[in-house]
Amino acid sequence: MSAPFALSDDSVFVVIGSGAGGGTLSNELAQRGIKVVCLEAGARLGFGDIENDFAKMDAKMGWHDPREGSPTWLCKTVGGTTMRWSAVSLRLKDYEFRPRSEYGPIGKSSLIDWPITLEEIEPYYGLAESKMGVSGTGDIPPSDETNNFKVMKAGGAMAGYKDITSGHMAINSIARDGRPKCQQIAHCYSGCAIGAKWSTLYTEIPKAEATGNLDLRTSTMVTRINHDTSGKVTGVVYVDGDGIEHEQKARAVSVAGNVVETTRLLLNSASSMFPQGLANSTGHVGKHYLKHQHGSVAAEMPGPVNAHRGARQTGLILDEWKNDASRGFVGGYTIQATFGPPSMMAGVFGGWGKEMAAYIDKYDHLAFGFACGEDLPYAENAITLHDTKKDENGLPIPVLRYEQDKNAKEQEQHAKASMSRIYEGLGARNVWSSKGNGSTCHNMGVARMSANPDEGVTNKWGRAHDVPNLFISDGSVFSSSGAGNPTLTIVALAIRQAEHIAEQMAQGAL
Amino acid sequence: MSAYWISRRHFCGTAATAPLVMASFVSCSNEQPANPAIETARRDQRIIEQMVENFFPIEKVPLSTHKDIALEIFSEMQTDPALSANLREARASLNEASGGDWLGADLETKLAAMKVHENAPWFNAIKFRAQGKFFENAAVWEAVGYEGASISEGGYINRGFDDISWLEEASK
Repeated sequence: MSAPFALSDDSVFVVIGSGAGGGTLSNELAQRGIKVVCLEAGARLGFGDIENDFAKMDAKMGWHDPREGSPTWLCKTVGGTTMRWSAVSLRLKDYEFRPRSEYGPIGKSSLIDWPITLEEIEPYYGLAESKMGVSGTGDIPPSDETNNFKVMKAGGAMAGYKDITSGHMAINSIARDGRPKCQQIAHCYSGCAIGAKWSTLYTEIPKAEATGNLDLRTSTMVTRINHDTSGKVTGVVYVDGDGIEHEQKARAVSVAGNVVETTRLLLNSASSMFPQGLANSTGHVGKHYLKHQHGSVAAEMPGPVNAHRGARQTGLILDEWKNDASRGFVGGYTIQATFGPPSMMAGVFGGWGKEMAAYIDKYDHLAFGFACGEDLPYAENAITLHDTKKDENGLPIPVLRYEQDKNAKEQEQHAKASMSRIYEGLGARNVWSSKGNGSTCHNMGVARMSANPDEGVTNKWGRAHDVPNLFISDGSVFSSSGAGNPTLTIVALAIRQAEHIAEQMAQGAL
Repeated sequence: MSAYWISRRHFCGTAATAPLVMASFVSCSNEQPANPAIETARRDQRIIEQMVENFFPIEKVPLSTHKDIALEIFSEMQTDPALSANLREARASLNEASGGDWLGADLETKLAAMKVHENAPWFNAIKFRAQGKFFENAAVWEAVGYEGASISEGGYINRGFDDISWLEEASK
């Protein structure tokens, strides 16, 4: 049960969002004896609510508030996007924490180095992997190999790749931490019906509640963060499920609204002291929006694959995850075995008529891989507030502007060629490439960490440069994207941040 | 609400909700048309049917599935002004691109007319609506080999998630 704390209790730490960042931070603080009020915009689902039906689950847990521009794939539910994620959990590489130094200047890119190193975050990666039950790490075995991965593995080996693994999945490969082994249900994007896939809904949140230090308030939409005349945060204003407005006082606040809503809340919290928005004195909030490069390839194989059976994603080829300028682009990419129902295939590979029929007719013979690669930041790729359109609370809706750069396009072509080679080596009869830049829920970079306050929004702990008791705890703080899927890094940073916050509180500095 | 919708309701003599009225129209549509509006509605329904067939010419899927989906879309158009406007644009644009009578044209001409407009907002709005229905249809799933929900079957842990049998030969 959640512990009820009074609205007037200004000793509580308010966390906005209950996903990978917010859910983890809430639990890590609660475990350290800190009183936490977690405000989640969505409702709380149970295992009985999970259906193997993407459309129905999207209606239950998708984020459908109005927004314009580049699509996202976010969730409005306890657990946030950890309900929908693929569960690929990769540590960023050493060079990816210092990309500006490694790559040098690249056109108009606003690339900077992170203010932290791999060495600093490495212990927290270990804690995150253990917390999440990442397969192939520690004493946890790799994931069972699905048909789709077996094809990628065999083709990858024929293509000369060496670093091929069915590990790095935060889906239980053995029963662990009170959760069962994966039963290969195959509908991971609709929420895991048995809890084998890590989600804060049934891990971090109940563990935090068990401490008596967490007050989780669902269906609460935060509309504003308040501050005093010294510029310190004093509380947050939110609207509950009945449309009633409240103010929760706070000792400190963390925002973890999965980038889009994090940006919107900071910009909507503008005041006479912070006219450009909270934590935005340098104008970086909302800018340097990152999404990852995504190219996909489907191939008609010589025999049935039935790739729709089994965990939606299992298996990786990691050889292309390096910075090798001889390839014609900077940064690297991973190759991931993934699959989906016919609707997803049609969405990714597009077309109509005979063009679409060619691959849909061969659905049970298809293998499917996609690449996830580093994306470079640009100030022009940004999330802003709409000039006129407002939501049901009277607040401007977010506008997302994102364009893929030349580097990502070249990387995508390289990745598609690599994946085609994997399947063609096994005798693929046809190969299809995705159209346009695939859009995923990988959102990063709008409140980035920076050593120099003039270049970003937060410091190495995710604390706002402008506001001493305001933290950001989602992918917004990424200084660059790297090529690894972001969730493991978000969780590792949240654990590290909680440790820092607890220390600061103990010292009376927060 | 479109003019022909009012006319059809009057013609069929019913005030039921849109889907039911639509079903009535299908029945009525086999009779001699009473006025031009009815004939226009009948032709519009056929335009949607043939667009859906041309969007998804999946050999394994019976054409009755396409017709069912087209009927659903046509029914939804009665209460969706934007979709109804898309249909009016489809009618005008396809006819213009095929010499005045898209429905009466041969398949090659029909496909060429659709190709001309494949980036038009109306084209993609209708395709998006049709695609959502087509790929959530149980008959389509069965035809292409997608097995749908698996929770009640205990997932695929014992039902073929790792049963691929031809890889060894292909890897030689």
